[in-house]
Amino acid sequence: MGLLFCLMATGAFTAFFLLIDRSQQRGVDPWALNATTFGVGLLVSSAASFSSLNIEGVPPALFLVGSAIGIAAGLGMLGITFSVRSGLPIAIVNTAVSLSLAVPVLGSVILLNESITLQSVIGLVLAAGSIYLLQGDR
Amino acid sequence: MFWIALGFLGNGFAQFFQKYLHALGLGSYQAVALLLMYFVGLLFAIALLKANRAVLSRQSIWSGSLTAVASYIGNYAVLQALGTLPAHVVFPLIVGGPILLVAAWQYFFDRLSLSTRRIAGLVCGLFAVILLTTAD
Repeated sequence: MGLLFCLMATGAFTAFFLLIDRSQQRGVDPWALNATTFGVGLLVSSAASFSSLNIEGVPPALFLVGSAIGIAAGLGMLGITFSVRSGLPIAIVNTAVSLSLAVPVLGSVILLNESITLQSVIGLVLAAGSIYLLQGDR
Repeated sequence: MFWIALGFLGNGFAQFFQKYLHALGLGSYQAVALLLMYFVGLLFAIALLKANRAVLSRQSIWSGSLTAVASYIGNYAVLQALGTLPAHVVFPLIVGGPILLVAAWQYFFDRLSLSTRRIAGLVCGLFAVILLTTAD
């Protein structure tokens, strides 16, 4: 069952990137696309979690971190959309954005004083190499 | 280059703040955090929409709705998968899978030319994703 959900997630995320690509081929305004995506996302997630949602006793820090996630995700979505609009193939944009996994690894080392494994270091070097190879070939 | 850097850093910091949420011991408030993320993201998007004097069109509403539903289904499926499979199995599949599928789609349907440099970049990226998602 878990693998089925993995396939479902893989299909959905693939569709997400291809839909952004198609929207830009049709000339959809990136600012409007961003606003609609977050608006519909709010409606869908509200409907899905409404009955189980309990906001009593929510710590104030959650509001700050939750807001930071929202702003960062919004900027990320705009970055993807405008990159595609500028002519970069979605396959390249998708790969580069997927490598943003490197940010929490580096952030955890620098800001949370976590240790880094050799495997993560090799992953970061490969990520940097991948970005170098992809951004130099338009 | 600016926009791809913004996409990289925006998504990267969103993931870092999600990790920070757990570091603060607030991991059990995932549902509230997700709602807050969409709510603040929407306010931020409306502010940018107004600042750039952009308007919603039927096409943008249609495209945005499909994109949002795809994103929600993906995140829902990830949470369900994590309930039965370990993270080191789930994340390489759900991050690496779309890299391969989108590239294959563009190669077969959009006639994307794959130079040796591009193939090397994609393969390098795929291995980087596998190593970063399976590292402890």
